[in-house]
Amino acid sequence: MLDDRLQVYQLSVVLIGNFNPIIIQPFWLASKKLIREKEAEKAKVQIIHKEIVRFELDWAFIEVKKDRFEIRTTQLPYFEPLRDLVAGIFKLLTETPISMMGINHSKSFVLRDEDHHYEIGNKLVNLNLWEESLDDPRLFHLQIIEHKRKDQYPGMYVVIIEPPKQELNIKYGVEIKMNDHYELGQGQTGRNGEILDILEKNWKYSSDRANEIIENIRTKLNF
Amino acid sequence: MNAPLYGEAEITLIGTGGYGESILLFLNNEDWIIIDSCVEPGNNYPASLQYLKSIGANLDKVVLVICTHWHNDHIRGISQVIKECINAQFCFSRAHDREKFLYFVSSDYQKSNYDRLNSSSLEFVDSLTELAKRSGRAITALENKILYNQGNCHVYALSPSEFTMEAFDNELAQLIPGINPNIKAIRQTPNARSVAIYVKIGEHAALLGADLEVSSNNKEGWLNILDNSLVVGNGKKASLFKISHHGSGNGYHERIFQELLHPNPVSKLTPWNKADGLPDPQMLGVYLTHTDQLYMTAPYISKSPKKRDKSIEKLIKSMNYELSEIKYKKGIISCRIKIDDIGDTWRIILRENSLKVEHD
Amino acid sequence: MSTFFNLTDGWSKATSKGITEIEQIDEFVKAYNDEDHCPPLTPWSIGRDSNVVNSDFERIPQAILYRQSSMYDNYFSKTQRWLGHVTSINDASFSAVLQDLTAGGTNELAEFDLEEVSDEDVELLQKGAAFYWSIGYSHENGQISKKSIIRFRRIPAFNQADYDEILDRVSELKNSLIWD
Repeated sequence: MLDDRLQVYQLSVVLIGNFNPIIIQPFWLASKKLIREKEAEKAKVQIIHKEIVRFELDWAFIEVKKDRFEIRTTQLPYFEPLRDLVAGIFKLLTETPISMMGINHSKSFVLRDEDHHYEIGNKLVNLNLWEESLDDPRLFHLQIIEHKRKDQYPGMYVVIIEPPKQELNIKYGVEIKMNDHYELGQGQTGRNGEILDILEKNWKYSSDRANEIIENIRTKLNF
Repeated sequence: MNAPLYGEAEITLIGTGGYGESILLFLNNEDWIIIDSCVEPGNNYPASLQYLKSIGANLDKVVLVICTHWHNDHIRGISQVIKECINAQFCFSRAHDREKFLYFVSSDYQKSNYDRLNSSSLEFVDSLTELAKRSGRAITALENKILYNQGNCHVYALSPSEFTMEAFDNELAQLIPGINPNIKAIRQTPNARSVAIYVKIGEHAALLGADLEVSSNNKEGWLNILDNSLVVGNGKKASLFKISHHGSGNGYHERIFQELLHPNPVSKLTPWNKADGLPDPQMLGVYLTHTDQLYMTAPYISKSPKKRDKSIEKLIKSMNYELSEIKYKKGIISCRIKIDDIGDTWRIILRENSLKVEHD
Repeated sequence: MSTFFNLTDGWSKATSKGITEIEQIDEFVKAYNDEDHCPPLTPWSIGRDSNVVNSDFERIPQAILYRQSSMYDNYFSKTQRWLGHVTSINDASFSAVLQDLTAGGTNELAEFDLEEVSDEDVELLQKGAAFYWSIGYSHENGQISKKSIIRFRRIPAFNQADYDEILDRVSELKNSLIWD
């Protein structure tokens, strides 16, 4: 689905577990042929340390801490390569315990004008409730959680609606994020656990679900 | 459309354009047999089950599912068929060496993690896994083997030949060491391993050609059936023919019409809209010299780009890419006949895009 | 614990502990230089990949390059994505069947010049190989341009666990089915 209001679509995969950050660095990825050698050479490394690794490829940002792995991209052509990279890394690191996974979709939209911007906030939360105590109430951040997933996996969906990132220079806009969260249970690993299975089976579902949620709310908010 | 009447048998061909075909047989007043499976892109539900539900048939009465060969256009959705048809046995052609055969499909399955839509092995292993849950029967299809035998209805496999399956054993031995998770395994001769089927219905008979081709060697393909089959020949001719391999030139031999079919047989085929497209219009002319009862599940569809968002269409064009869509065009041709009425002829019911092919 | 995007998204925002991430990293680095203070890695957090070669790590020193960075300097709008499979390779081109990852629905056929394949992907170009193809508008530091990107799929080779799984499946199917 292509639309003119959509400015940026960001995708990330976050894993919670116990990682050895220093392994996951550009040349290791290239030595395993998970990325191109050239990409490793050109990687912008911020830090490689036992406690934290953080670097950028041309198409993805990767951060690994001892309890958290995150990879994200704003480049649509690399959504599937991002998934393959996560799967590839943890297929190789067979003993890494992973307990949770989030597939995160975030879309930033441009709105017509200030009135439109205000109207959306007012529709999401009745701002009249505040008019006696606040002169000019505005909605800044809304977080909605659904604790039961629609599929067989334990986990939840979290939706956040807030203004787009400042760097985007969108004067009037809205960012809608969907956290497709999976609880994998203690002791799950890339090999034997569910992560590869979920990435394989739920990848399309995850983006379909995010799009469904985002499009439904957009229809209701009329933008 | 209603289910067939008591005393009637049915042979239904479902075609989808470039997304495969499926055949349903209704025999002995109660049993359904499903041969191959195809799905609508995006929907992924087997067309055969959709058809059975539409005529109010009971899926528990599906006794056999036959996979003629593992091409995507014959296997997609077959695991769902096995899952929902809880009394069905599963028949397919396989290498003699069961262990090596299972190792090959299991390896192919292992690498298909991110490519579910494109792996015939995945469908195949999922089917076997479903079947294993109920300790079902996996029947090997081989020439001259009877696959169904109830009342006065019989179903025989005419192929693959012993010779072909020995070649498959050798091919597997070569493929297994080179299994690479990034590459889809390309098997060399799946059409030669196709299961062509002969259906005996009382005094009537039908010949279902799968994707079987004509080889120069009479130990395989159509020539093996014509020269060596113990089932057909000797006057046991068929009055209905599912033309093999979408009406391609290499699926045709005039001896099929001379020796295995009655004059002017009901003939039906599914077009295939990939690459250069099948059937070649010239071949339709050849088939029309044998019959004036030629049916297709959809008209031949010429190549054209897919309709999509205008800005993307423009972008594709501006970057000089030429794409052609593999169109989805479903059609159903049902043929019914009274099992015990020797004088009865096939009644043809055309649905959706199916049509009768006329001389120009 | 949340699996959402990093809430401290960027370098300048304060963490919940009231110090900046840069300060946090400085702490880590200090600890690294002083082995006594560096918290030991717990044994179970070490990936047991026997092929990990220490020299890989030595190729990049413990580099610290503080840099202001934003994902939003570089993004794609209006993009069409496909998953392709190579069906044939010719002298100067290859043909493929494409699944539409953007809109779903029907598949397509296309031909690509071999020149479009990156040097490092050439070894992956084989009949049957999977690749991703996208075309769209790239926004790179404010510059918008049309781009076509072909990237061949990279999945690690089978490891012992894969072979074990394959053999388990073979034995399960062999024993659970009645073979006729």
